[in-house]
Amino acid sequence: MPSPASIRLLALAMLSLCLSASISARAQLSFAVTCEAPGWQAVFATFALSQIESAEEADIRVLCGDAPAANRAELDGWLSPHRVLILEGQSPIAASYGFVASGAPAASVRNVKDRRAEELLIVWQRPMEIVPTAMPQGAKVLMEERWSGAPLVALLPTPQGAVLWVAVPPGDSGFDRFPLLANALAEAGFVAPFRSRNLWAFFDSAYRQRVDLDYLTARWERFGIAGLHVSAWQHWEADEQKDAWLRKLIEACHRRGILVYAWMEFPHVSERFWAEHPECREQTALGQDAQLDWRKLINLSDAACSERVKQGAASLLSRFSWDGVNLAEIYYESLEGVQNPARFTPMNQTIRRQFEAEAGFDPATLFDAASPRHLSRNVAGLQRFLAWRRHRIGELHEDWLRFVAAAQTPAGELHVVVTQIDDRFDDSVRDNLGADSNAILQLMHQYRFTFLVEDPATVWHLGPARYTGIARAYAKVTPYPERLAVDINIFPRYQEVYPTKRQTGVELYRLVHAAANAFPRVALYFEHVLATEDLPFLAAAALPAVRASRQGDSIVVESAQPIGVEWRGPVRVNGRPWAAKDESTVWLPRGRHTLEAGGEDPALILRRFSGEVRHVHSAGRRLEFHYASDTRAIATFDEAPARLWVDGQQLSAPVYEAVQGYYLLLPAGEHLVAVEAAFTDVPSQ
Amino acid sequence: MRMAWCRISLAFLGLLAAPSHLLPSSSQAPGASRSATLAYQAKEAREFERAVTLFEEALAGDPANIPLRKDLAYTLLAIGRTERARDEFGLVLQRDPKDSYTALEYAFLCHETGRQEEAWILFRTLRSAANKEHRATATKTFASMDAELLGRIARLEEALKRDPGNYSSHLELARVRTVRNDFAAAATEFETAYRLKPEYAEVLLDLGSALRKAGDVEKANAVMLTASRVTAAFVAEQAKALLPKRYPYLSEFEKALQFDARQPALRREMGFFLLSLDRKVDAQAAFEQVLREEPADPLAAAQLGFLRLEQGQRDVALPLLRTALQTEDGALRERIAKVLLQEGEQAPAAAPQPSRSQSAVSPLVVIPDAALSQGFAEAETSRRLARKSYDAGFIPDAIRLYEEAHRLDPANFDTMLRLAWSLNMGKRDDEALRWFSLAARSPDPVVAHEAQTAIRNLTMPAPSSSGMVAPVAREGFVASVWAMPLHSTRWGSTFSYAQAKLEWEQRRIPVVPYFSLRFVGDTTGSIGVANPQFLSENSFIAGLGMRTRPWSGLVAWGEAGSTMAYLTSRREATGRFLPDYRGGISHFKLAGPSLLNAKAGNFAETMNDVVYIHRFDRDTLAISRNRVGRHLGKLGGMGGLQLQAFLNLNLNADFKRQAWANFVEAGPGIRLRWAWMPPSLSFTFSYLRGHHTIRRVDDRPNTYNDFQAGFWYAITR
Repeated sequence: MPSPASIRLLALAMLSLCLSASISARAQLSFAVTCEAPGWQAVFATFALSQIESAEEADIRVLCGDAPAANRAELDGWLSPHRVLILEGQSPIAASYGFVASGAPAASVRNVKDRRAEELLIVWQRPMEIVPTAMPQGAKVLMEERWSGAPLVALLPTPQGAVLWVAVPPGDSGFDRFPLLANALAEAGFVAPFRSRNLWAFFDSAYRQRVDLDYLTARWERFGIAGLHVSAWQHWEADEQKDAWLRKLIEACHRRGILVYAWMEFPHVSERFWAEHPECREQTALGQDAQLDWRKLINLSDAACSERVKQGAASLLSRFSWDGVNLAEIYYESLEGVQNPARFTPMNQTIRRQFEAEAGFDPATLFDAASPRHLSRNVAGLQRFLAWRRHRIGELHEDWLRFVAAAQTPAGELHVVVTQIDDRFDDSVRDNLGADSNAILQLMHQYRFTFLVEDPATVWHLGPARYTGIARAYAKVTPYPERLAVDINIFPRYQEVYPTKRQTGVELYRLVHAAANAFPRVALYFEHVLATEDLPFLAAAALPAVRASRQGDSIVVESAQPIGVEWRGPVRVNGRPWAAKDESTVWLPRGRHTLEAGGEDPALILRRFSGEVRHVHSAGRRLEFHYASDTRAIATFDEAPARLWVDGQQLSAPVYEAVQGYYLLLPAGEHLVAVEAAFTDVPSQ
Repeated sequence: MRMAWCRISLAFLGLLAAPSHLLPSSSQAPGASRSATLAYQAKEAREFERAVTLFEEALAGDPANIPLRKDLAYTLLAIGRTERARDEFGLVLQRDPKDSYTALEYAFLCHETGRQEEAWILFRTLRSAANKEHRATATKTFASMDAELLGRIARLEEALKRDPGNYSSHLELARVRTVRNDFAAAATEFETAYRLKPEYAEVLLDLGSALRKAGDVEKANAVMLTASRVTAAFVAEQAKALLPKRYPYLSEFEKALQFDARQPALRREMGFFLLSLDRKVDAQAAFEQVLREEPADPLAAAQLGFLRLEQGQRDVALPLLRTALQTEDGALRERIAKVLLQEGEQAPAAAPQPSRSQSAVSPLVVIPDAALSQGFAEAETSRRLARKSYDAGFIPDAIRLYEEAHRLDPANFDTMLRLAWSLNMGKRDDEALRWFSLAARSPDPVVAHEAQTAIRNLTMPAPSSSGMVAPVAREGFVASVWAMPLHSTRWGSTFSYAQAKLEWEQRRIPVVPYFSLRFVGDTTGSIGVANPQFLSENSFIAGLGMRTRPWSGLVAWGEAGSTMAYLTSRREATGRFLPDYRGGISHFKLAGPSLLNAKAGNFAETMNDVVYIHRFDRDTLAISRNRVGRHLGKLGGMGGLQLQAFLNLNLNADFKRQAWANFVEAGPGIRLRWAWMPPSLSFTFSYLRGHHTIRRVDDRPNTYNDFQAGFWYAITR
């Protein structure tokens, strides 16, 4: 019979084992490959996994098709429920798991069906000849050749752990052949180790009116959405039913720690405004009302019309508890420029008069083929008008920035975002749309706003690397590079692109990752087009470079941005109990940190914070943290805070009920906060 | 401006009546299964994703349960899966088309998910719904939607009056007209847009769809065929999925080219298709047109060069072939170089070999040559796969892949030859013959000779004394029947020899087992006592046998079975059943044209058998029948008569040295058929002067004259 001492020792060992397991029980940190495998490297780098030499220590192993014979017994010993073995092709080791040639003739593969998204058209740029493989018993085919059904990716659960088999490598970019490869990895047990909470998403309420808002906001929270930009034009005029719905949405977002922005799309105002104010309608160069696709453009140069629009905007901003406002796409039309007079704006009477007063001729004559001033005969006149038009866009921005800065809103000062199409990387839009980012960026000296670069359709085919180029172009002309953000348009591209027309899966993750590396903030356009398959790894991809390694039972993480680490159970960060966490994630400030299993959680936990937490310190029932936020900040705690100090001054702030816990609204800017829990008992020893 | 929103939000225009009264039901549908019960519980607990799974499970067992399906749809709406919800409502509507409540839901969701044309027609239809509230909602919504569309149409038409060549306006007008279900007018606009900017091939998909909905299926197919051959892979893949699964008809190629004449790749493909139909003149014209449009097109230049060379127009052909040498396709370049060398041209300088970019992939994977054009690379892949399929015995796959290879690289005669063999193996001899004929025109003499030999084998199924039909390689069970009634003045009787045979052909084994039923009889019942067994057995002979595959026209065979005499006199003489064992070697060879050949020429053929027959006193007979003559080809003006005139020389001998079995006979003969007759039917007439080489023991003379008339007919399935 064991002695009490040995039982205690055993219990301690068990506890230690449990704690150790809780450090990284699910997530993988490293991978090893047996060959040059740029595709696999690209996939894992997107999720900040480190490539290591020692295969035995790796969490994920890729055995390339031409790898030297592997030792099956060694692999069986290595494999575990939280490790993933990836096999390529019909190697001897793949054969030992039962992946052998089926005997069917080789087939040319180009069109792939992913069973998670069967309607997604996946076409490889180059067809490949693939010898069909027979699946071992118990294997689940995840992807196949669309017409013959030949398996291309399959999952084989084994008693030791999961084996993911692929017929061919994923291609150099990581998404050339299997765009939803990350989802397949997830089925094999892959859990991304890190995540961000830094994404913005555009939201058009017209597409989501029947959705359960609690469900939707929970999903956004899970997938790393920090801010939601809500279509303001759908709520421009007061309407009891629609206003109630929007208030409910904003409340649901705040309960999840998600900020809400009023997304305006000037010169479109609203359907009703267009219908009720025909005198304010913008005109095209053909003299028609400027209803271009979904946008019905309003003449904001007309003083009376502009005033009416501002009255509506003031009403909108005051009726709801917005955290910010997004002045998006204030520019003229269209991408075809002067080549298409039917879509060319502005050509309203105000503009014509103003320009004529300055330049001495009516700009409408530029489009009159019979006029001697027609653009084909009047290059100088055309250039003058285009330059004047760009200048007008700058003036409109200044006008609206001034208006928003003075607006009275429930939140007080709103965080302002200006979304503008890129004209540095693709300068054709300057003349076509009148976009002039340089002029707008100079307004940063007078107004505080974030400049959100809209990724133009003309470069959607250029791949993730383009974001570095765009960021570099803007860093040169902005005084505040930390206030730059970029917008990823998720939309079917008109260019010849492979393997999918719309960015999805690994391609989307790589875009998000590249954008997050290049810009402090990434926005997704827009929320409802994100495929269900794309959601699970968005937060994991939206991170700049992260270095992480295991050191005994600890994990050392170094990140240039605040980061969430997959973690279950109490944790000590840099040797101290850590209070910024929730059930599955430890939230860390930027910098280098060492994480290890902790004994117990602090008395008060900061579950979620909408800004950037720079430091956290727990002491008994008190929690102190230092933060920075462009907006008022939402701080969510597991218990209701009883007392609050901001920058040493005790404040009385309302405590709201969050979905899990309670939240406070804290002021924008950089502040030191201390809160105390409503009850002070620390669990007794 | 963002590109996504071309939809108007009816809901936020205040037109959507749904939120207040079209609420999801939360009560359980009657008669629901356990899954349904759990689904409702999950939904109550706001576990929507689980509820969806459970609803789906419940519906799998009860797909007609409309309330259950509606609740699935509403749950899907709650989690934002709007398209799935729409489709579920669509299913409900299919089951109950009069349900205006569901129809309205479906129409709104169609509108929201980009199916405006469906929404438009549904709202329009629902204006006459029986339910007053639904009718009012539909009327109001339709009026708003249609007014918007009409306004846009008016603006766009006005814009196009001022700027008729405006691509964007035509395209937008086409789309608006599509929403209004005015598909014919939409097609006109799509077509105009395409003609303004043919580089935007995706418009072809819209055009094809509009034409199909407008009822112009023929033109829609022509447009889709055009789209299926564009270089934009996504457009091509989508178009292929909408085309019939078969290879296009010639008329479809022609219509596609009528739709858009400037499609060199499509015209070139049609050229090769015309070649395969033996319409050389048309094919040549097609290749010439391709070269007018794309003077450097190597495939068209090569094929036109080959055709000109065949016509003896060396001066025209050689420059074309030299042009075609610029191709990046190594195989094609090699073929051209070979022909140029044969024509006395200097060996062309080796063109730079395209570099191969081989990524680090499994050795099972071959990445197509980066420098090769996509079509050639695909053709080579298809050829390689086809060869593997053929070798592995997967004949249908081989045929499909060779056809694909031919489509992608139509000038490759080796592909034609291999396709022909595959068709031959696949029991599709008529098609095989056509491809052999094409391959026979190859400038490569090896390919051409193999094809010509195959044609002869296919078109001349000659009998031997063993009853073997000229070997045709097949797989599986092959049934054949042949009959050769023959009247002989020498014997004053009509004999009939026939055999029905069922062979089991398997490439894996070296011999072919078979079951045989022979019939041997004559009209008189007995032809003299000296040779009753040879000419007149009046028996059925059933047996199991085995033969080898033909090797240089040589086949060895053996049978074991039983003979059944059907004449009483025969039964009395020898018994009704007698064991029958026989075997031998059979040889057939033809030089020159067969009777089926349309062209005239000299020919010679020999049929030689050595046969052991146990029942004939264990005798072994040697029989040689030889013909030398002139094939006169197809004679015009005689109903397609095909005629051969020849001299016979027949030699017979045996080991037992029996008088009846040893003779020599010779004389003239003719063989004929008409073109309209089955290919395996022919008539033969011969006048023979014979002499027995061993003196007969009866009182009949040793020398004789014999006029033989008979026909040969065989069927193989």
